[in-house]
Amino acid sequence: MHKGMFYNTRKILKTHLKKDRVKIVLWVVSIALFVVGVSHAYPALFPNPEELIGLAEAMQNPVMVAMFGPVYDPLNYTTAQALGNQMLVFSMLFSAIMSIFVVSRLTRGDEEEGILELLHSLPIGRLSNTLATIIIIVAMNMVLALIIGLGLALVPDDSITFIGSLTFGFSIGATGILMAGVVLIIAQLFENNRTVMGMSFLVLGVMYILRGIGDLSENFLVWVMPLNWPARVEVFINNYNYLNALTILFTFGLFFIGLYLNARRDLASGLIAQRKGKTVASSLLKTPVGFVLRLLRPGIIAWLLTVFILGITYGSIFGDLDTFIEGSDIFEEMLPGGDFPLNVQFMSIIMMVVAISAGIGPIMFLNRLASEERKNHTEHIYSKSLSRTKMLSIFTIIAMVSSAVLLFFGALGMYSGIVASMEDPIRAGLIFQSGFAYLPALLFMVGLSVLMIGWFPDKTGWIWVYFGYAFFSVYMGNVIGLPELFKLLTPFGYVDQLPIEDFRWLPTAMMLGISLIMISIGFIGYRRRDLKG
Amino acid sequence: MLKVIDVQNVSKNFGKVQALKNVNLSVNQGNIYGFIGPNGAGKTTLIRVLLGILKADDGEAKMFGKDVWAEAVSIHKSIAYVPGDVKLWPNLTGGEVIDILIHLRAPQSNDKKEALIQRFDLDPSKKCRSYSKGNRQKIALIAALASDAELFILDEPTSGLDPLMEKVFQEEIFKLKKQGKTVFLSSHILSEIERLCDHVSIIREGEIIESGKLEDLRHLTRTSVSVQLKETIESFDQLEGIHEYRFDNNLHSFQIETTSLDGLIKYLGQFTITKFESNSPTLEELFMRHYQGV
Repeated sequence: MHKGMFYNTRKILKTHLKKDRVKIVLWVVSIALFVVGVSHAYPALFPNPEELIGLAEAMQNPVMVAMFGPVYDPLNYTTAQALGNQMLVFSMLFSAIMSIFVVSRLTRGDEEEGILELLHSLPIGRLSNTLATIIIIVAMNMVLALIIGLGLALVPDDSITFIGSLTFGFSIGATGILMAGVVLIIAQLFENNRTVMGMSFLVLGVMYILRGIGDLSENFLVWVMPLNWPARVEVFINNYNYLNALTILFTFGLFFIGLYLNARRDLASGLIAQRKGKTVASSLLKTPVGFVLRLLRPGIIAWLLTVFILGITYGSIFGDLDTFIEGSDIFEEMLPGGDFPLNVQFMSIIMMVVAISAGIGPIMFLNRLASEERKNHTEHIYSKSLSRTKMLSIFTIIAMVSSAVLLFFGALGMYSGIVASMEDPIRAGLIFQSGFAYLPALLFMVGLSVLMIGWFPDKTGWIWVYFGYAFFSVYMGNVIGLPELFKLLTPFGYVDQLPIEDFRWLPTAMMLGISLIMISIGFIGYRRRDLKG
Repeated sequence: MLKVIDVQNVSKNFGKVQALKNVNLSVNQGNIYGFIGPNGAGKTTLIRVLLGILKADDGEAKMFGKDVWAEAVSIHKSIAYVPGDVKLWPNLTGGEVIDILIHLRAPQSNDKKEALIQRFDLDPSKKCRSYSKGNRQKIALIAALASDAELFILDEPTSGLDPLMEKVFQEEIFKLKKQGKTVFLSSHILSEIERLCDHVSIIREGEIIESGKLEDLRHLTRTSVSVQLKETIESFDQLEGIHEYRFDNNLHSFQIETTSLDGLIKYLGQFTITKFESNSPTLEELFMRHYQGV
């Protein structure tokens, strides 16, 4: 490396801190508030030991292990263990997502928009911006770790020890730092930020799933994914903090590789070179529908795969589930009951997670119209003989159709996993029925999204907060015993869990009706308002 | 004559900022119409109102006799547009984008496209994210020029082009003029407007401050003159329409309002002129005078 590679890093650092201070604080504070807030509810959740023992047994079920990690000491299951068991892996994902957003934005995002080019014309080292980004994200994660650690230590429960609380915090911080290293390397490979973010989420998803499989089978996969190192500190039991230290050490290796790759490549290029493209558009691409589909193509393919793989992953757990459930009284109490076998009941609960994941896709596709507008792309389109109604219709129809297709793929994945792992698999009809029960809820979200695009084009991102809440209320709601009311704030709370619950026409009709009304209002707004460009 | 663009008392506010104030403007068929103003004067805002992307708060804007907001789609079948800041889809190639833009307007068989790609020297096989500003502009220009539109709305179309490409662009505009097409060209490059346009409007802070034929506007301008006489005479700066008179080294140099030229020539007729230089009025001066608020 040449001399002066890091020249003026301090200035760049100050600039970033100044311009992004609100964003930085919001990320750290909102994650910390959420984690600490939920943790403070724990002592009240399981007031007596019998409940904790029951919970320990429930958490050993393979589905739970795949999602949350193993139960290390079921015989002495304390409130602290419950907290570590249920909240740690989940909270680690937050810091990982924070790192994806912050690092990709400050590196590839700024580079793609030409901001780095401007900076590089000043007396600033070639790697100064990258180093400044590393410093910022490491600091953010460390502060987050400390706030969470200290916040947890204040939970009034004897089992929640000070050292355990800090370990919990450090695991979250270490995960964020690890992900920052991964994103930094990915940012060197691809030229555009959208790809960098997509690949980062894909890597995170794969690491999360592989860690689940590792935890289930207790084989080498446990350790092969660095993401699992901070997860397996056995928080509040053994507090193996050396695993966190190892993660950070490993990440410094990643940072070094990232910096090295960064120093070797040209500005605004990626290490994965671009191919020569077509010189003419295909006849499909020349039609409005074909054009929109082409814009959305990478997202559609990625999301179909994601949902399908998620389905397979959960489906493949069912083989172990059968042997596990036999002879467990606790489960029979936990589940909604009815005449269905336990595995069918489990399937309908897991389907909720798959369905919400499927629902993210159509909203991403719809929001693309708003981001096209922000990027001044729509003025090309609307200066042609194409009406706003037609354009929004195309996007809306794609979102609606993809809702059904994605649910189908999620259920198909689950069915494939179940067929592969179970000796006496659940009937396909039941699985698909369970999946398609979520279609009205997905269409409700599509309606909400159209409404936002029509009237609040700057605020389309807020729907993700709502999605996050929906995901939380159903994913964690059952586990921490959230009151029913909280689930009813999202359409997913009204879905009948087929086949174990009976299908009701009223909520379905209401969701579809409200969705149609929101779509209509959204169209009116979109036709009447000014476009940005 | 058919009015291709007819804007009457159009106003547009963004919050408290008044971007357009009672703008009036009309463009006849076959005009090459220049629309000049500095950055932020409201050029792009007016164009976006014309395209039905922004809705005018007040007034009436029509193209081909149709309301620009209500009948946007049918109007757009006859227009081609090049935005000032060309942003393209990063993951499509230049060739693909040209085809898409041409076909979204009106499906047509296209023989002009290939020739234009050659003339503008564009490599259509690259992804849009790797094109420079000038090349992105070429893509939008090729797509616009290849279409058989009646009206071409071009928002600062040459701001990223090199001089060679600028020349190609000007030749293409002259071709359109010969075919009787209408061109609405916004720019802050005055030489370009002077060379290409026959009609001009000048916009400043959202208001049209000058409008008309280019030669009519020249009457508002001053000619700079320098004269050397055999005789030694008193200064004649009291003559009508003379400004910035200087006498130096036996050389009278001054600016004169174009309408006062006749008086000057008659006055000078009584002397023996040894040297007479005059520089024809340029839009530049008109422009500077307006913008310096003189």
